[in-house]
Amino acid sequence: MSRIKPPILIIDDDEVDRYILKRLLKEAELDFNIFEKQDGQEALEFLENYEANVKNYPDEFPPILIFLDINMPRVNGLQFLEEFVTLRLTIEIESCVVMMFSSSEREEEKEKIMAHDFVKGYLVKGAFDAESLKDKVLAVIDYLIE
Amino acid sequence: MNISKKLMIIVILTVVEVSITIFSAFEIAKGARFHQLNFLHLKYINQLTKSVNSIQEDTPIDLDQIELDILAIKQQPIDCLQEINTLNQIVMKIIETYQAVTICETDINVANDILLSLDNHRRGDLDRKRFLVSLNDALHKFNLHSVNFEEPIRKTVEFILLTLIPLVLMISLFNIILISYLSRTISSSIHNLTSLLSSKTGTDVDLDSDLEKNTTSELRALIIAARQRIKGDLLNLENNLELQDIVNAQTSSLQQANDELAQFAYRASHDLKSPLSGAKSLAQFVIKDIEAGNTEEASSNAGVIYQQMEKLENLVVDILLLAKADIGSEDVKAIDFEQLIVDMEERLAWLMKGNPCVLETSILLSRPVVSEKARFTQVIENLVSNSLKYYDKNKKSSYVKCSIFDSSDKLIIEVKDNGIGIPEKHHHEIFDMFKRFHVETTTGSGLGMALVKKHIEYLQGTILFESSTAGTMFKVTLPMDDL
Repeated sequence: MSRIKPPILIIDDDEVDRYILKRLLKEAELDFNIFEKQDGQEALEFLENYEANVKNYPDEFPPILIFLDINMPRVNGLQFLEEFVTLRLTIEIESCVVMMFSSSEREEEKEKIMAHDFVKGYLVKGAFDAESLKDKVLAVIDYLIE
Repeated sequence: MNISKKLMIIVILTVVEVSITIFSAFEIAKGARFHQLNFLHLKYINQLTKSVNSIQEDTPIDLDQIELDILAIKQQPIDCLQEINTLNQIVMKIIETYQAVTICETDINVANDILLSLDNHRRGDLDRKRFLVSLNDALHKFNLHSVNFEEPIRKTVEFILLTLIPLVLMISLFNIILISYLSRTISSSIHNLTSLLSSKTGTDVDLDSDLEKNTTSELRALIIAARQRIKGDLLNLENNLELQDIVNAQTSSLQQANDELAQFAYRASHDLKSPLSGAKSLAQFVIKDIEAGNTEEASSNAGVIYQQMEKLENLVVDILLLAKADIGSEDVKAIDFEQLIVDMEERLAWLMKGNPCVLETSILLSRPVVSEKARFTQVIENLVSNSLKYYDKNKKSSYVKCSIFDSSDKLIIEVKDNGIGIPEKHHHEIFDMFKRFHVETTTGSGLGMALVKKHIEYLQGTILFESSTAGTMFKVTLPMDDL
C-alpha cells in the first residue's frame, strides 16, 4: 500500500515566509506534496491550467488545501479569493479549502475573507508553532487519503 | 407728485375745513348775541318808560334814576359795535345790512343827546316841560331803533347760515374726494411697486427703468436703500458660503490626508512586521538546528535572518525619507550631477552586478542647478534602480538611459529603458505606496515611486511616463527658476 502525499498550494510572495511554513509543516510531521506560487496571478494561472496539470501531476492535482497570503503584488489574497469563487464553478476543486496565512489581521478584511465558506482558517505569521499548525490543518482536511 | 406732498395737501385741506367750521359756529353764535343784546335793550327801554310814566305833575323828577336807565340803554349798542369786526362790516355792506351798525351809532348819539339835555335840566338851563318832551322823543327813537335793528341782524345771520354751511359742506365733500383720490394714488403706487418687484427677477436693468417710470421718488429711494441693504446682506451670505466651502474643502482634504495616513500606517506596520516575524521564526529554527547539530541549516537560516534585517533596515530608511520629503532642507547648493551619478552607481553595484542591463547617462546643463541634492539623488536613483530591476530577459540587449538636461528654463530628467514595462492595468497605481507589480523581484519597499512623486510635488514639477512591453520612459520636468 503506497501512501499518496496530499497536494497543497502555498501562495506567498515572500520566499522566507514560504520556507518557514514548509519547515513548520515538516516539524508537524505533515507530509505534503507542496506547490508554491509567488502571487495570486501565478496561482490562478496554475489552477486554471487544470487539465494539463492533472496529466502532469497524476494523483497530485488539484491541491486539497491552499495557504494564502494577503499582501502580494499583482493579484493579492483578496482578489485571489474573488477569482477563486468563479473558478470553483468551472473546475473540479470544490473539495479544496483555503487557510489564510498573513502577517496582518484587519478586522473588516478578515470578516470579508471568512465570509467565503471555503476559507477554513486564519493563520497569523509568526504567531503559531508546529503543534498548533498541525491541529489547525488536521481540523480542516482529511489527511489520511489513501 | 410725491407721497409727502400729497399728505401735506390732505393736512392743509383738513385744517381749512375745520377753521371754516369753527368760524361759522362763532358767527352764528354772534347773531344770537345780537338778538340777546336787543332784548336787553328793550328791557331797559321799558324800564325808562316806566320811570317816565311815574313822573307826577308837581313832584320833582328822579333824574338820577332816569340817568341810570339811559346809561343802561346806551350800553347795548356800544357792546354791539364792539362785537362787529371789520370782516362783519364788509359782509354787512355787501349784503346791505350795514344799517344795523348805523342804528347802533344813532342810538348812542340819541342817548348822548338826552344825557346832555338831562344835565342842562339839572343845571336849570332846560325847563321841565322841554326836557320831558325830549325825553319822550328819545324814548320813541329808542323803541323805533330796537324794532329796526332786528331785521338786518336776522338777515345777516340768515346769510351766514345760507353761505357758510353749504361752503363747509362743499369743502368737506371736496376734501373727502381729494383724500380718497390721494390715498388711492399712494396705495396704487405701492401696489404697482409690489407687483413690479414680484413679477421681475434677475433682470436688474429692466427693473431700474421700470422703477424710474412707475414709482415716486420716495418709493424709489426706499427700493434703492433696500436693494443696497439686501446686496450687503447677500454679500455677507456669499462670504459665509465661501467660508463654508473653504471649511468643507479643508475638512475633506484633512479627511483624505487622514485616510492616507491610516493606509500608510497599516501598510508600513505590515511591511515592518513581516521581516520581523520571519526573522523570529527563523531564529527558532536556528536554535533547533544547532541543538540537532545541523549547523549547515542553522548557518543558512542565520544568513536569511541577516537578509531580513537588511530588508527591514531599507524599509525603515525609505519610510524616514518619505517622511522627510515633505520638509524643506537648508542644504541647498549647486548640484554636481556627475558626482551624483558616480555615487549612485556605487550604491547600485549589487543590482548591476551580473545584470546584463547597460546604464548610459548624459548630463547637459547650460547653468548650474541649485537645490537640495538629496531629493535629486532619491528621484534619479529610484527611477534608475526600477529600470535595472525590471529589465527584459527576453530582449537581446537591455539598456537604461538617464538624461539630465535643461530646455527653456525647465530641468528635464529622463529615464528610459527597454525593460518589461508596467502592465497597463497598474498605471493608475504607479505612485501609490507599497505597490510592486512584478513578483520576480522581491527587493524594494514599494515606496520608491511614492517618494519620487513626493519630491517632484515639493519641487513643483511634473512627472509623466509611457510604458509598454517595449519599455518604460519616465520624464520629470522641474522649473529651473525655483531651483
